[in-house]
Amino acid sequence: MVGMAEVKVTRSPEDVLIALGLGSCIGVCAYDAQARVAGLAHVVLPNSAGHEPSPGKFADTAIPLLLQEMIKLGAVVERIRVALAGGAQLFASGGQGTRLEIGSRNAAAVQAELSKRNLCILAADLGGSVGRTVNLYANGCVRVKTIGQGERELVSLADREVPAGMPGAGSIRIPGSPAAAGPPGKTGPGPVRDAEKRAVFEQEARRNAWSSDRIG
Amino acid sequence: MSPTTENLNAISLDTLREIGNIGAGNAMTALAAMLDQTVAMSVPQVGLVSLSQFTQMAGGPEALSVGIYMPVMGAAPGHVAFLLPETDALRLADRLLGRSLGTTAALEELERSALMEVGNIMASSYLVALCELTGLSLAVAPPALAMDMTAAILSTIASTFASAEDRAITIVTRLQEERGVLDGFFIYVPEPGSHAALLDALRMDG
Repeated sequence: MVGMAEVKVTRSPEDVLIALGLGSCIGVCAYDAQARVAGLAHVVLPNSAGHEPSPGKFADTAIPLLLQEMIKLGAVVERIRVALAGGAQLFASGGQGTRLEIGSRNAAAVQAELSKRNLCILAADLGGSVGRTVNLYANGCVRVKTIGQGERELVSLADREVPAGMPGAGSIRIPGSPAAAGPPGKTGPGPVRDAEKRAVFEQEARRNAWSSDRIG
Repeated sequence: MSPTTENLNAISLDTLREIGNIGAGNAMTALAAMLDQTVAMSVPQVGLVSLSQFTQMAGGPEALSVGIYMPVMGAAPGHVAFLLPETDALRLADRLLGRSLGTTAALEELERSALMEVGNIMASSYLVALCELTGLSLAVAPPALAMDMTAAILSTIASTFASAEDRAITIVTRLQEERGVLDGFFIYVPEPGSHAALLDALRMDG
């Protein structure tokens, strides 16, 4: 169980990292298929502004912490693939309740941190108005559960099945994936959709930044 | 830095529990009057809850709940929310809109608006008690409603004050309607900087 502001990593094959009920928070699932190291960060807010000794809480500090912890278990940054879930806006009304609209800013901040490090986002289930539970299995499988749609597999962060008991079985490539074929920093399947989404996030982030400046 | 939650002693916690008791008493009376039914309340649970535990303080984390949230403005800012299972929210809507129980199947505009109004009245009643007790000027901002997993609602609420604190004092009171129609939680989270204001107003040292 990965609570708010927590970062957890594992390489035990039976482990499942779970972030329950992500609302505006983001579950950052990261996986190195070769080292079989999985990590999950439950990011609460976009920016630490350098004022907190709690790195797991903020996108700009949680991502480095997540990578660092995974590297300790043998992961290699270049091999790490990422899936994202969360960043919703649950509360529909509320007028000027801009502090409730943190989801899109979280999503934008997490994506910015990841692309800064050329990390490959294979899949993202972000935004909207639904809460999500995200499960990251030690084999790289990412499953997302919502109230409306039940549970489904979002993506497998392992490129292909590596037979059990054969760690590091060859170098791993995904045909046609941005990591294997294209320039780094691009998002995974459905780049058009993701790019559109990101544009919306950035727009919203700017708007929210403006309004929260005013409201404090 | 504002006074942290660390240095709140047992007496302070008791005082906050009493504040919760009196506030929730008022909120309960308001709810009972709206329902025309007797409502029972628990002794408020006062605790220092870490962010990682916050989503588990009321109800099952993945259960479908309705949350009505309002920020508290004024001399001691904070947050209040009324959280109840979806089934209970539907029955509450039945009651409020004069329908027989089991009629409301979904929360549309009208039902949401009615529930937000209940939240607003309960929160205002809660705060009126606090104002009278402390002499502080407090008011609630307009409510917002969400229907989703309990944990998702609670974590979104927590994100509004998480930037400054890793832990928060939460005052949680369970409200149950006598005939089992409704069983919800009223949650009050004063912001860390507000503890001193509340306790000072009651002439207690934080």
